[in-house]
Amino acid sequence: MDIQKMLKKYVPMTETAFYILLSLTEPRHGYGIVKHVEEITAGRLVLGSGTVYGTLTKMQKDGVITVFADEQRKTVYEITGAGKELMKAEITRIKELQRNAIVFEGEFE
Amino acid sequence: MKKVYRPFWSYDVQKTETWLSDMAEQGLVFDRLNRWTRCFYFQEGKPKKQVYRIAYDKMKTSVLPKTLQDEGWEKAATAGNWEFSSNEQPQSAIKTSPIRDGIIKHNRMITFLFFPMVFYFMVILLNFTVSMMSSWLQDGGSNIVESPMWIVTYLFFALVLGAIVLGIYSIAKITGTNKELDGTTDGFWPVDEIDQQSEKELKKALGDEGEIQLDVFT
Repeated sequence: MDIQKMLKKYVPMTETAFYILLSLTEPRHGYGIVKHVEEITAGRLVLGSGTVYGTLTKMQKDGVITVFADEQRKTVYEITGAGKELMKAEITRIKELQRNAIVFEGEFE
Repeated sequence: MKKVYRPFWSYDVQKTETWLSDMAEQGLVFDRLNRWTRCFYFQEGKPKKQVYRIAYDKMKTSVLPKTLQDEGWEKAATAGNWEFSSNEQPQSAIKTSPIRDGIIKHNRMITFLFFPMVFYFMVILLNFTVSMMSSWLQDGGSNIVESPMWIVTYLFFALVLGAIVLGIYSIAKITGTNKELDGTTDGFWPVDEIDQQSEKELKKALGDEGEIQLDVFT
């Protein structure tokens, strides 16, 4: 999948997809992803194995991530170059959201 | 360039991987594979130690994961959905490897195709035998007429037998390989973690009281 198509498909991202990719700053196991997401969201987001596995498989098909096996032959997920580009685009979008949220926050009080 | 025919190479990929390593040690470095003729082509050169890993991936990725590249893995060849990776590091230094889940799935698919084939030819064979037997029993021995056309019957018989033998051999071999591969490929979710997870859910469902009780047990 080329990068333009990928951006079209994945931006804006669901919260689950975003956090899964965000936790791939280093290669991780499926369960490692779940734990890490739980940690950085202070327990707010506990992903189910089905959700994570489904999302990862889809992302692998689209070339956002790749997989390999570690010493114990467990599947490890790693973000690709294209996946990194995708995250940069999504983070730019979220930064804009955040800027605007802060600017207009007061009006709702 | 040396060409080696290896008809059932994909039935036991681990054996094929070792075989490719042995060839490299003899100075024959794997170059490419013709999937249809089942021929492996080797480049003649200096003997070298090389570890090979075969993977089957429907989702074609153009590059290997960075972690694998960092550990010395590179793509040796691709043939259809089959991917051959090689590594010059010694086996003991290699911690990561391309994933093999695809092979297990692919193998399972093939056995599903072989089962009906074996069944079909078994029925033909049975039919053939029964009709021969009944004619022999009823007519008190069959009257064989000399004819060069008998060759067709014999050829067909040989074909049916051949197909059954091939089918059974394939199923046995593939099932064996899958068992071995399955044992080495770990599931997605670690077992002990599942217990913790379900315990947590149980606690949630039971509320505070349940939590206290469970803590007593653990």
